[in-house]
Amino acid sequence: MADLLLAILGVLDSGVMQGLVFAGLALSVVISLLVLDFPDLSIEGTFPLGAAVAAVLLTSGEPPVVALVAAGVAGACGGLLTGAVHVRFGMSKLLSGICTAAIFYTLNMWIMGGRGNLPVLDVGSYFTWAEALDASLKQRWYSSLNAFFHPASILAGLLVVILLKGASDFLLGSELGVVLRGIGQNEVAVRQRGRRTGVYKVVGLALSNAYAGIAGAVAAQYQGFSDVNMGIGVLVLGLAGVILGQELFARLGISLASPQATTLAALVGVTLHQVILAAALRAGTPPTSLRLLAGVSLVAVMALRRRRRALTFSW
Amino acid sequence: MIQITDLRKTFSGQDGRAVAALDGLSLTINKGDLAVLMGPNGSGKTTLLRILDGQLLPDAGRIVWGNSAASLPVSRLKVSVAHVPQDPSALAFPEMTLAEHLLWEELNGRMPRFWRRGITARRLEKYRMLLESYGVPALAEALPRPLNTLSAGWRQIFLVLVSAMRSELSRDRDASFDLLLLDEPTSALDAENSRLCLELIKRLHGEGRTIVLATHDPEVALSLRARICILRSGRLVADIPAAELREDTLPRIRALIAGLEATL
Amino acid sequence: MFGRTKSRRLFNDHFLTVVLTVAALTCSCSRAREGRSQETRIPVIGVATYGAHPILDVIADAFKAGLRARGYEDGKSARILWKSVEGDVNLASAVARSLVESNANVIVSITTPVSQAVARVARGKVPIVFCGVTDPIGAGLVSSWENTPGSGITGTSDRWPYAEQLDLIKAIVPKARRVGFPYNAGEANSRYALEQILPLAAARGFEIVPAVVTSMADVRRAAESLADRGVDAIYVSSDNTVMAGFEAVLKVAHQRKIPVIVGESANVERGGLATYSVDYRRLGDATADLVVRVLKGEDPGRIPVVTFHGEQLYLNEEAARRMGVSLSPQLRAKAFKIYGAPAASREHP
Repeated sequence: MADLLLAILGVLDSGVMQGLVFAGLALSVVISLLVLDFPDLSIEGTFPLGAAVAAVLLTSGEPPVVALVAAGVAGACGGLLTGAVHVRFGMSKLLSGICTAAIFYTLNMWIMGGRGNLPVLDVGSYFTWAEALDASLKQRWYSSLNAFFHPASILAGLLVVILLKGASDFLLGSELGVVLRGIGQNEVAVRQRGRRTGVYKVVGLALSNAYAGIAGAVAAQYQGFSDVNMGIGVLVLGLAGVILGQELFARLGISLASPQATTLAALVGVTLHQVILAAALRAGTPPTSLRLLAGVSLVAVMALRRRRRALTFSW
Repeated sequence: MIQITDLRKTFSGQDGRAVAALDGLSLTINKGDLAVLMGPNGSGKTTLLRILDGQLLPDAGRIVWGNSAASLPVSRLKVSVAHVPQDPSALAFPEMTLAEHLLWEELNGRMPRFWRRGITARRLEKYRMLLESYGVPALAEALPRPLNTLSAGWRQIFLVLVSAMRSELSRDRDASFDLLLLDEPTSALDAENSRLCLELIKRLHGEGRTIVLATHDPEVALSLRARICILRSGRLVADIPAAELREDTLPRIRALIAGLEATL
Repeated sequence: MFGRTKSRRLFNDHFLTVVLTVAALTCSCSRAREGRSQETRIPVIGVATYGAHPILDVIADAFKAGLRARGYEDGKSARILWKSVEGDVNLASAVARSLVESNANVIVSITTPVSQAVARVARGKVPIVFCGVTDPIGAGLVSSWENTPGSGITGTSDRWPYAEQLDLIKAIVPKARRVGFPYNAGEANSRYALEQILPLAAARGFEIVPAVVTSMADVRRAAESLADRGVDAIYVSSDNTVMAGFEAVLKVAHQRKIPVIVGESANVERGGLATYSVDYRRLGDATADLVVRVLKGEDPGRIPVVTFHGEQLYLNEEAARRMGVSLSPQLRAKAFKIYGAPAASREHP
């Protein structure tokens, strides 16, 4: 029983940590897809871009905060490119994102000095102090337990996520945010009101990709490497979290009308998704069944919910 | 006063032939007028509204706004024109709240600021009081709700109201002319919601608003007790002042429309 | 709209569901843990791999066979926890953590990014043996090929045997002075290869003539420019762009009679002249050897990183004919495999 409890705690710790690391991606998808209605594939290039910029800066001795900010700025530049290509040359949303991702695949290699992979192993990272604290906590309180809890690391991750969420909530709730959301819902109506939509789309995409870049920088520092291929699949990762959160909130009857609720749903979703993945990883007896297990358990969570709800109503 | 003289607009039809939507239309609308444009489909009502709000440029003719001599496009004039098209949801944001729709009107014509909150308590209070002053406390209650949670009728009423409030909310406040264009505002509504919507229009008119309304339903025109302008093939064929409306006017309008059908 | 109590009730129900699901998922592994605690003697070998890939599968099979041959059979005398990130490097950290928490006695990490994530999570907690990492120093895994005591990590590298491959050029074209090297400057492995090759080539009296390509479409032009600059041989390294357009290099080589030495056996089969190649089965076996040594208590930091000298010579008879090169009988005798031979190809066991 104690073993089981430890295992559950370990899964929760690991999943929540991963969720916090990838939270920026979920917020990025909220801004591009939910707010602007722009399925932005460029985050597959700007996420590793943020990682590359952070890795290069950290290895040259810059402090982690500088690396995070620079990664955000670099990501925003990627978003500017996507937006400019889409608005100026009328390229379709998907294609302009694909182009940016492709361009940044090569650029990321150049940034890392012509390499496809740069380690962030032995340099001071954002998580260094938190990890040292975690290690001493384990030493002091539960060194005999076969358990790895990272309360300090989680708090450190949470700090970044709270800042990111606060910034996105503020911007989405501002006058600018109202315009951005309007463009996503009815671009024709915005034009009818005599407002040009192009510049706002570019601004929105820059913001969304800044979040992707910061997520990349956090991921590089957490995972210990920056790799040109780490962008593959991040759109799906963010999307899964966002959709999961939305479904969850809708089923719990929580209104998603406000930006705060939408971003919160995305964060809850991405964390839940990572917890499920961590659980699937822990449980996965056949080694190549991770994605199957993850998919099935997502369905299971939703299906259980639906049945529950049906019962509640029939009584 | 809007003076429309000899307005012409031609579209190319489906078979490539030119179709005259407006064929020398002349009409004068005075400040504070409630003018109901009537006529069958294709008589030029919607075209006239779209020219008045600046979406279309006429091929020929003049529109003189108030005392400005030139016939400039509306966008270059200091006039406020709010146009509610036949399907107003085409111009709405389904998932945004009522308050945010009002904020859109307030932002009309200026840069949105990213450092200022959109929906503030002060703004909400202002919108609430505005809506209550128009006699729709139900909408004031629903300000924080998304538009798509409203019934179709209330949505229509709200969107008419939003357009009407544009001049009060935005910088158009100092416009020299303030015109509200409504295209078939009640055609999609049931009897009860129609009544509410017409009451709102009467109220707006009563406050001195200039309104041009297009409809094909004579009952609407009569219940509004408004001036009726009947269009046929892009021309004005009858202009009945509100004062001349009597019980026996309805058959006359019907006859005019029936006559139109005969000539078509 | 839901009432407040109703939404709270729904929330409670749903929260329970989530917890139950997670618990159910975790259950199976905890049962496995209970099973293990009864027989604590059996070592647990955690493997974090990248996913399905032809070369990685070869390594994996050889690794399992190597463990079995050394007396560690899965389920009997050892437990192998095999976990894959299934192509998503962003899962590597979670995989590494689940292995650490499953009480693995040693963790084997396959490919560079997975090894880095494992090193980040597990270094200092569990000994690590990496595998399939071309440049472990550049990847930040070890500080030198000799390794440092206490680093807690060692492994095998699939660095190509550049020295042997360059020697092969000398053996086939003894008078060779200038060696053409087409590569894509944007590829990390090619840059690494060039850095490695330059000093080796200088020691052998070669001059490396680089030709940069940026896309597959440039490959033919690059090969022609090399031929125009009078190179005696062309050496194609692990460059993916050049390999994609390899046939264009061959075409030029056939026309201008220039031998093309390649980096791995698959390209000899495709029409390259010759190579000394890494044998990935040996790589898997060597990894198993390292795991066993670490399990027996050796300090991984004292085990140097294992690299391979090319001991498998591959030749292509047809290519030799078309490139105007004669292969000496001594070379043929050493060959592990000869492609395009008129008779059936010979294969040494």
